Amino acid sequence: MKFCGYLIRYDELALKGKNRPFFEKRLISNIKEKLKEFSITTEYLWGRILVYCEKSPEILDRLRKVFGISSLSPVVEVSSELAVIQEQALLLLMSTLAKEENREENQNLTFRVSANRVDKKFPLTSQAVNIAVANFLLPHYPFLKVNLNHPALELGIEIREKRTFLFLEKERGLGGLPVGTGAKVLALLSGGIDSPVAAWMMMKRGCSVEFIHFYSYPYTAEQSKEKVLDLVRHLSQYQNKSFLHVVPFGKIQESIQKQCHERYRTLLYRRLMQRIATELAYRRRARALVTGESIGQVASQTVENISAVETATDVCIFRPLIGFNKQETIQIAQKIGTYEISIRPFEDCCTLFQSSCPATRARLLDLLQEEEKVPYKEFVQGAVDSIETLSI
Amino acid sequence: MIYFDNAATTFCSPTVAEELSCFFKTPHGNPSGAHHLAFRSSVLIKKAREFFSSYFKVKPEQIIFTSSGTEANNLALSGLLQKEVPQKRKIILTTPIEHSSVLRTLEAWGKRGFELQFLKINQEGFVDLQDLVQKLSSSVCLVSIMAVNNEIGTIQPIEKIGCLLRKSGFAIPFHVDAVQAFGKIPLEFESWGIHFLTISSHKIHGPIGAGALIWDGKIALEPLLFGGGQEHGLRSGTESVGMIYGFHLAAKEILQDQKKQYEIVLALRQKFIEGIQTLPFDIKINTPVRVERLASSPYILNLSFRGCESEVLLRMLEEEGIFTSPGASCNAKKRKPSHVLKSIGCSDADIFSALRFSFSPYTQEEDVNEVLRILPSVLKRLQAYQ
Repeated sequence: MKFCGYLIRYDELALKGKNRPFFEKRLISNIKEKLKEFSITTEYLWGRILVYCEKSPEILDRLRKVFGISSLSPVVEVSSELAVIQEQALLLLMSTLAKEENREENQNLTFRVSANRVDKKFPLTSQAVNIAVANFLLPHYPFLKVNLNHPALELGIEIREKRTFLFLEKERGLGGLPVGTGAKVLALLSGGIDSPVAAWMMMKRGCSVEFIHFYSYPYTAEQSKEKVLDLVRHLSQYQNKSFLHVVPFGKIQESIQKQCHERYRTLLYRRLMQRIATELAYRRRARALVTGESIGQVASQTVENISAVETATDVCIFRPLIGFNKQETIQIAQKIGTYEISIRPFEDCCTLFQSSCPATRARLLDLLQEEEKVPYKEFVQGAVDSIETLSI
Repeated sequence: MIYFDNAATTFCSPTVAEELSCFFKTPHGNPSGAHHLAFRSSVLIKKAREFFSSYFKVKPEQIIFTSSGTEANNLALSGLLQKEVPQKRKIILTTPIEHSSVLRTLEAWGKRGFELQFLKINQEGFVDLQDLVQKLSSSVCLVSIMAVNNEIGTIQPIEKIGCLLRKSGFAIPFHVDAVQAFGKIPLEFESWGIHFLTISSHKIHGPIGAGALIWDGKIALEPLLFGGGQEHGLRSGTESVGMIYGFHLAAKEILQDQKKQYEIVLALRQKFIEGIQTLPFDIKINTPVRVERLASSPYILNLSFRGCESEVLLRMLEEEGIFTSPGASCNAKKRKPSHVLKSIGCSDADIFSALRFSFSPYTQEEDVNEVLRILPSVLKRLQAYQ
């Protein structure tokens, strides 16, 4: 009995009809890219991908971050003969289960065998394999209690032509679609909790994400940029390569602060940000913008304000968190590991520029009038020309 | 680049850097070893020890090299208090404006049976000597007071304090954190009644990574680090030969010209102050700069630029190539005001608009002129948005 690698399942992809090979190829190439530092080979099986490799927690950890994988199992490969399957299944069981009945963890341990016969030429039906293997194993472990509905231990048997895979563990993957099967999008990353989660959710649906950050130096510290860089580094684990575009924004804020009405300050910043992001999206061939907005979370994110701001762009904007409560977003941020970075104390937007009485239901007409007070077209051009692009 | 953050750290002196570069290129042994290379290393440490011992007029074994000023402070305070029995003497006297390496250490001991009492200080940061005398008793086991305050530069009357302690007759150990004083202002050890004195290399143009505790050699001290028994058993761990060598060289260099540099830096700071006072902005001087020369170290000048956010001002000056320190570590979410400025009664507004300019013998008159030239435009830009 020898560990041979990880068996990867991808249920949602299988529904994609004629596009299926496109999704599968992308998933395989994403897996290879993620594991390029390891010596691995991949094999495509119908409905499965087998990654031949050493058993390694690091490989497992990387696979856990590949979108498109619905579940994965460390597997043992044996030949497709019932006697061999039975014998090897016993060895596999022995490797994880102590024999002594009196051991506390073995008391009332429930068990089942779940065979799946992909090769229909195999002489026994799946159900017959289940019974044959269970009957072989149970005399060795008399304390095991068969429970077909909620077993604590499940022996998986996947019978294919000539070979069979055995496994005891099955871990859920992230699901979603392989990154790169969707279009490229540009996420506005502030350094807060929401925007990294929004970007991650777009990756989950197969989009490759580039990032744009508005940097208000000298009003914000250099550490705030480093924080955003760390967020991108972290999110990059979920896609192959990331680009962070840093836009100098301090002078623009300064000018809006000086020329425009205080009530509209934040909304005007956001319009300018969207204009700059739009210009960059064209240049980078990104098909949409992504923001972490959620209705009513802050004054600038009321339905009226979001609508008034978004007229600044003609590119589609995705807001995957629009209906989320803050706590729901935090939960995802914690799960994907961006939360700890986001709560570092360096804020993206200095308090110096915050309005004490922001407009909560801005009228577009007022906003446009205010915007005319600054040379916003020049700002956009100047900002886009001085973008610093970092490749991560 | 104009560097006014010398109280945080200084640049390594070019001659020290040169010597250290040679040192690191040559093979050197572990000073505790038995061969020739080891012997050479041990000689470098011996010479450094002799230099500091002769400067402070103590025996070489009274010099304990550490990795930093913080470690020396910890060794003095914790090393002493571990040997004390709180039931007998439990009061620790200190000031609320000490460096965090003293305050945090003493607070920790305050939770372990000792009683931490803070001496009153006035608006200039000076210890109230009457308060000190009143608080002295047979229950006091330690007095710790810094020589020069790192944020506002106030020079404490250490000699007087040492004298008062001696006169009290309670045999109270006296620790002085002299990290900002050594190499900058006159400093004595035994004649000032000090039992423990902390100094650091990187504040005097030496390398970061060396400090020392000067110890009276009598008061029982428990080591913090155990091992090979280096530094007379008080600080185990292979001596950082290069750093100690660099510390020695830097000390030699700065002490040679200490008096002359003091006068030069004093004149520069005076010019800075006069320049600031002519600017049409509301600038408050937090450092005591009274006529008596010894009120504060000329190497430190703390100013509040009223109406300006100090961190933003700092970064705007940085854009112009001028490096300083804020009076508070602040960020948009949590603003932590300086405990020193708070203790001398500064308002929050003054604390959050405070910047520290700290000088060095390398500071040039042109540097001061340049800051005075640039400040008005930066302040104007910033004040427009308040």
